[in-house]
Amino acid sequence: MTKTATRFWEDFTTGESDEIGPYEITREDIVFFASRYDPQPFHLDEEAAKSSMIGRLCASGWHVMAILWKMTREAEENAASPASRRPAFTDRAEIEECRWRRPVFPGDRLTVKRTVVKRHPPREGENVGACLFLWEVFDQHGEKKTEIRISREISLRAGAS
Amino acid sequence: MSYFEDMPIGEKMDLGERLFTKEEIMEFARKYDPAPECLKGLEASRWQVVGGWMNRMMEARAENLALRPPAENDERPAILGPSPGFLEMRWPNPVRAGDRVRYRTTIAEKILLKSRPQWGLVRNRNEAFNERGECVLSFLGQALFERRNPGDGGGGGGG
Repeated sequence: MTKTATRFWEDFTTGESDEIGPYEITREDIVFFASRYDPQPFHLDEEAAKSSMIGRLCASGWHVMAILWKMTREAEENAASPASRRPAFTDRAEIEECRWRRPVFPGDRLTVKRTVVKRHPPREGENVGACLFLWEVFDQHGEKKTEIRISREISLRAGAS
Repeated sequence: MSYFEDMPIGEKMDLGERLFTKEEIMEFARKYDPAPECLKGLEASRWQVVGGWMNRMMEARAENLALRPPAENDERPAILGPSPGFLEMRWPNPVRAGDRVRYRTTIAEKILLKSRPQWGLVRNRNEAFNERGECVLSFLGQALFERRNPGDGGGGGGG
């Protein structure tokens, strides 16, 4: 039995990747999020969306970001088995770039491929490092919807008590 | 609603403030961010802080449209295009229950698009602060704005 249930910064390697999801986005949820935070007609109403650039109801990009965050949080919570140890992420995250390539529609099932692009070593005297991840978001047809470069801070094994 | 030509680089806009209540923090957490401090209603999800910005931005645009002086011509308001994404998003400090967050936006950059002559890309620096003056959000937003005069060099034209 392994006693190491945590993945520290030292355990991440450049080029490694995993996949999380799928997560199905519903029309109700699209409209709920939009009504609270992004009340543009093409996120709220199918009829109104017909005359928009996209031509049909689609999710707010901010809603998609919140869903991706939920997916990644849940993946971390569920990573209890030795094969998928829980990453020692801190709360610090920075997004270098997000590209909304294609709109997300009701009923789309999203999966996220997360690849370690670069490892940033800890600064002198600090007990955290960071990794730059590429998140590629695909729908059920394999079409790429969104691409995100996100840097996340990760605790060092050396710093863990 | 402004056209691409109507937006001077460097122009700042105060977008007003939003109160983050414990109830709303918990509601958002249950739907989108199951972090313990969010579920307990202590700290707002970072995406709720961003959502607050979008909400303030839409309100400010609606107010702007309502305050627009009667047009001298029959020009219709510009159509707001989609956003291709954003850059450099950071959350230097958390938002706690009861915080009043003030949002502001500054026009940072304007780019003409060869591929879409009827649109221009506007980048805006968005920032949010709590009552203690601490920055809680910063990012560079991007949105397509309709051009009044798709043929010219952009920037100054229109009138």
